Amino acid sequence: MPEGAQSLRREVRAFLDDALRDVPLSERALSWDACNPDFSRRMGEAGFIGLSFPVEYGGGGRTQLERFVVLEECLAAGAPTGFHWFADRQSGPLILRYGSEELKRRIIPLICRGELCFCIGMSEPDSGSDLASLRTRAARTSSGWRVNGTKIWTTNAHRAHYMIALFRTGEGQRRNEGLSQFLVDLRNTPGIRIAPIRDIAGREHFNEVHFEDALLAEDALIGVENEGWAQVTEELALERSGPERYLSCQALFNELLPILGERGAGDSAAVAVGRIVAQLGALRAMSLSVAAMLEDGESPALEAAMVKDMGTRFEQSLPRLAQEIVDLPPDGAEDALPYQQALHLMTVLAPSFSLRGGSGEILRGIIARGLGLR
Amino acid sequence: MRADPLLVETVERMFAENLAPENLSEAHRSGGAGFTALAREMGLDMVLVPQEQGGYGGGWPDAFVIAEACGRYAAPGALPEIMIRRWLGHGADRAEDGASPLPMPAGALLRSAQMAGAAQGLVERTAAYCSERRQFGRPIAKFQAVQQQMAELAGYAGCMQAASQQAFAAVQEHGMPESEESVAWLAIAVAKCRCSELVHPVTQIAHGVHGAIGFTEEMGLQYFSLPLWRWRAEYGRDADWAEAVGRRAIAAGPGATWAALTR
Repeated sequence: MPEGAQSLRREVRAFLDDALRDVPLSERALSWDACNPDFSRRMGEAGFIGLSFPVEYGGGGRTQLERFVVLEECLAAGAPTGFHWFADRQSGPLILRYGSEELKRRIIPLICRGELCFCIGMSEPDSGSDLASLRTRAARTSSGWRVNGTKIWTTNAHRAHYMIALFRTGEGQRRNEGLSQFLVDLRNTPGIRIAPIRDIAGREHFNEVHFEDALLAEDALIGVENEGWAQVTEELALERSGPERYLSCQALFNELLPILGERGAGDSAAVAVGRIVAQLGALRAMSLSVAAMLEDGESPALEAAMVKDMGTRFEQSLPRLAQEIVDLPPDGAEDALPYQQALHLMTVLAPSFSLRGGSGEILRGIIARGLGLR
Repeated sequence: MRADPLLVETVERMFAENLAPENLSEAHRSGGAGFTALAREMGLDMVLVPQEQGGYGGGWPDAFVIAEACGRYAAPGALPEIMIRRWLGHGADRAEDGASPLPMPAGALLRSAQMAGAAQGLVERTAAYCSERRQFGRPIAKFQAVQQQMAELAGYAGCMQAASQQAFAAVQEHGMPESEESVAWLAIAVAKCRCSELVHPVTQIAHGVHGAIGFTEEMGLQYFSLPLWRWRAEYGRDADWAEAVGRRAIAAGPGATWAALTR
């Protein structure tokens, strides 16, 4: 790694040492799933959000590799980055690429300051893996757009300022034609109703979002009308290839090692731990190579799908592996060992890892297409 | 440091001309003497030797290109080993003595690239085969069950490639490790562990998708799978590397383990 990236790494570590001192394990274990607006603001002040965005819009003007370093350090330390995560990862880059000059000047600096929370409006009740079948429609009016329909599984919609939404604006010969992306101001648009959905862990993080004659201004359209599918495909390459696809369970691993250090580890435990480290190192190598491709201006959809498919399978295997290595049951009680609390949380959350951002079957379909088989 | 693009191009052209699938059994029948002689004539064995000593003056990313291509094209002979012995400063006679093992961990590093290459070779062979082979009235590539397996295979090969390439890059940046404390040691351990570990699913899927024809000598899958099954145990099995990595991680704790992975 270049020295610039490694000195940035030292800066981030020092920042996190300080900023995470009072963050409880339950929040650190959730990491990029945990929303903490105060923490996001501190990250923004330190200049760690929008790190690769242009300086003229308040960004850091640094490379994708340097951004990667910040992300992986946050994830490894369990920083609660959920409030700004989507904006930093995909909504900001989307606006920078397709937004108007006015929009970039208005929104990007606020993202970089960690003040804005974004959500992604893609899935609908009848359109999950088959995203191109979505039906929520934005119809033209004399002054803009009228939206009717429902989005679902929208993470953070109840906290977010904005949604980047994919709506149907026309009909094409193929189903993925006639789709467009919009910037929706969730807090100032009448006709939008947000209903949280409780998950199996008892948390409320994803939502149903109803649009009932919601009126959007003309300039809410992002990019090219009816060309939303190509834009979304690019966006998903950003969504699928990052280190959050294999570091979601890092808090569990971080609690596991000290337990083994105290209790001693037999040969089979050492081998199992070594295999985990090796998988981590190899997935990181894959994810880094995608970051390099992004830096070169490519849109590596196939490689991103590979990172996510292999990464989430690794993450999902960790709670089971941990239980093979140490004979301690998961326990969510506050007086349980931190390791047991982390194991409880990760066991319950693991099923979500492979559904957010595209199921394994869909990802493998994308890879098969890349191999020329479809 | 990236590999020299001119070298990449030269290697691809020379390997594609001489090791096309239809020529592979002939190339192997002669023990690979012809191919190795040609590669030496082009100086490919001298890639890691400094220019002032008559070599190519390349780096480890260049060595990866050659070793990976040898795996991917199922090259006969011992060009990768000769390349490492040349780096060790051996003269022609000793460099070409195939019997003596390479020092650790250079041998493990080399095997990771060969395995990554051979796995990629199996991806290409198997993708081509399942697009041609028809059953139930269509190419078997059109069945989702086959597509899902092919995607898995390609993902494993991509993982092996990335891990091995990372190890070569680490050796370029930090030097060949002299002990487990050396910076590049963990990258080599990760690469050899992961590549060896993935030989099983890679060969399982490639042979499975080919069916009975893949078990015939004529089809030529053995030029990839037989070396893979040999290489995974050479210079440390995945379990050996995993145990060493695991012991260090447990002793060092999470912070130091993360730091070692990200140096």
